[in-house]
Amino acid sequence: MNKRLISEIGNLVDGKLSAPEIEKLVRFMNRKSLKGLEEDREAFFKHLAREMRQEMKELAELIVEFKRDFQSRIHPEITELRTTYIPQAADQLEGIIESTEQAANRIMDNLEGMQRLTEEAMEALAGVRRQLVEREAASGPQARGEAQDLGGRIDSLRQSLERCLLLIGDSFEKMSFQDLTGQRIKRTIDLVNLMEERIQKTLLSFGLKVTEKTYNPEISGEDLASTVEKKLSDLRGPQRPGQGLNQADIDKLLARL
Amino acid sequence: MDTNMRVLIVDDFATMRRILKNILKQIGFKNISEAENGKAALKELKSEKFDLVLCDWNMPEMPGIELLNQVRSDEQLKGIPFVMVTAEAKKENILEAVKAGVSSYIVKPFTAETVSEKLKKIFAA
Repeated sequence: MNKRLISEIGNLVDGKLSAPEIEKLVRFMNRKSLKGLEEDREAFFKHLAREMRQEMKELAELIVEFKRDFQSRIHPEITELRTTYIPQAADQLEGIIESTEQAANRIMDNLEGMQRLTEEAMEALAGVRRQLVEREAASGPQARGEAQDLGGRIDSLRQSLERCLLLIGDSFEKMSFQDLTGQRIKRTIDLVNLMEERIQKTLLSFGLKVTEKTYNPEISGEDLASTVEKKLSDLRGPQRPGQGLNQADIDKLLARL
Repeated sequence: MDTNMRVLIVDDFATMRRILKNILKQIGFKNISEAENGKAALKELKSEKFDLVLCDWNMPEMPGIELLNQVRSDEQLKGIPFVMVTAEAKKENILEAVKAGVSSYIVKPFTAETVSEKLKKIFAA
């Protein structure tokens, strides 16, 4: 390449430059053209990056705009149903499980306490009964009659305590309502969450279809479905407070782009 | 029925574990341990010797039926009496448990009497 250039320059200058001078000139030209190429490449990539940033910003703005647009198109009460009432319903149900569990535990604490006290009272009574039997054997006829009467009362008291224990045991068994209602409520929570997901998808899909058809009335049914599905996928994401980005975060992100 | 035997209660609901524990104490059992799911129960079963397992069906991590299958396929554990204590009263559930080798099936809500009867039947056999 350089030889050809040297020969062409030699012909052009027609002996006015020496061979070393022509070579020097070619080296200079090569350096300059390489630098130029590098500069062109850098400028090209800078331009490309700028273009991409702009495209991304527009795309992000489009997504945010779509979100705002379909939210304003959907009846506010329906939006509220999805954003407020349904999540609240799940929270309320979870609250029921927690509060019934706390109450059930407290009641069981009490029942266990009553069970212990009743058992202690029965044990004490059995001791008194034994002492009475011993005294009865060692005493005279009058005292024996009184002891028998007292013994009868102790037996009756013991029977009452036994019935008490049965009632406590039965109350304990009935505390299983907390487990059973808890399981049913958990299933309802799952159902509410599923409903929320379905409603969200329906509302999004509906809003996006209306918007897309307005902007592009000629769009075919098939293209509309695939465009909406693509946008649904773009819009999908955490919606609850504290999860994902909020509007301020999105605006900040857009400003940085 | 030997009330000195070691019993493992497996249920994710603390309330139910407590109820079962109380009932077992009323019957006379003294050595009672608890696990809140099948996975934790399997760990317990492999580290200590148990004579009876009372297990719920619906639990996170590992449901009762899976624990039963694992117990029955383990050479060391397969002989342990395994009682399913569950609100799942559907025929297919019961058939699945029987197929997996359940020793008895108690439907929630239950009474101390039912638990006592079922256990007596298992240990009399």
